[in-house]
Amino acid sequence: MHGKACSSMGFAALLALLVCAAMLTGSGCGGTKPSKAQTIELYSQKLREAVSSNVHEEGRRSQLLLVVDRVEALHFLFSQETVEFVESYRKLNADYDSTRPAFDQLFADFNAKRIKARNEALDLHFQLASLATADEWDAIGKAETKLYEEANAARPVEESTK
Amino acid sequence: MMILTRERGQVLILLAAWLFFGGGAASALVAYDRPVSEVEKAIKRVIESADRRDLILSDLSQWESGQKKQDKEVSAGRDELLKILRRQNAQRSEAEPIIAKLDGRFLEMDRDFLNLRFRVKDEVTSTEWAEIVARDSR
Repeated sequence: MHGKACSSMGFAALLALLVCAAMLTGSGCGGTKPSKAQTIELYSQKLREAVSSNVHEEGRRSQLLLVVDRVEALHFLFSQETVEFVESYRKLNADYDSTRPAFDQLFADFNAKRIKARNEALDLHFQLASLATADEWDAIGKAETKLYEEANAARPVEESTK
Repeated sequence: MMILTRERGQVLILLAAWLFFGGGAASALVAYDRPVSEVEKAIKRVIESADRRDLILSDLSQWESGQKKQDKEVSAGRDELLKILRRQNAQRSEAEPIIAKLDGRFLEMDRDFLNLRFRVKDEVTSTEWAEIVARDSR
């Protein structure tokens, strides 16, 4: 992917890569207007730099990369599951005669997937924490938290699909 | 697999990250499907009867007030959770009670969301409903 810098990055930095990947695989990165996603990328880049300058052992870098690959797959899987949930909701919602139990089931199914993905994300978080030394974690953990805070701030309530 | 636009892709990735700790099914719909302001606009446009329109808008407003309160509680729980995860020696058992509390809150938010959906639907005709939910009516 991105060489050594990537191999030593943490959970949070991966999110920025995913954002960038989404941009690259979409219509390109040619937009000039700063987006909220780019704000996330900025904070992740700070983390990546911090990690690159703190994690020096190649072995642990490789282990971290394996964990990060699983995180990446998890994010893409859950993103797709969220798309499918929203599409299913739209179909059900459009039908005036749809029943409450049908909605309850749809929501329950999605929440089961969300909880499964969240639990896996937690597993991966703890794996990353266990792979880093205390000194390394100080920078990784701080930046990871910062990125989650930024993802929260970037929640696109009034800017969703239009 | 569905092809995503660049903007949609960005929104989805952020939403996925946020949903791990910040919201449930109803939150995903509010964030990704349609903002409340759009629903209000559609209702104002479609419902001609002032009485029914005001009743529905009042329901929406009440739901929105409740959501804001719940959002604050979720935000506090989420901050507490992130504070724990920030510590390298944190144990999963420390995070689990907060996660359970958040999941309970998300279920309440889902229930309130669906209650609202059915209250609104019960106040409108099938024709009005079709116009309100139409994707190209935004």
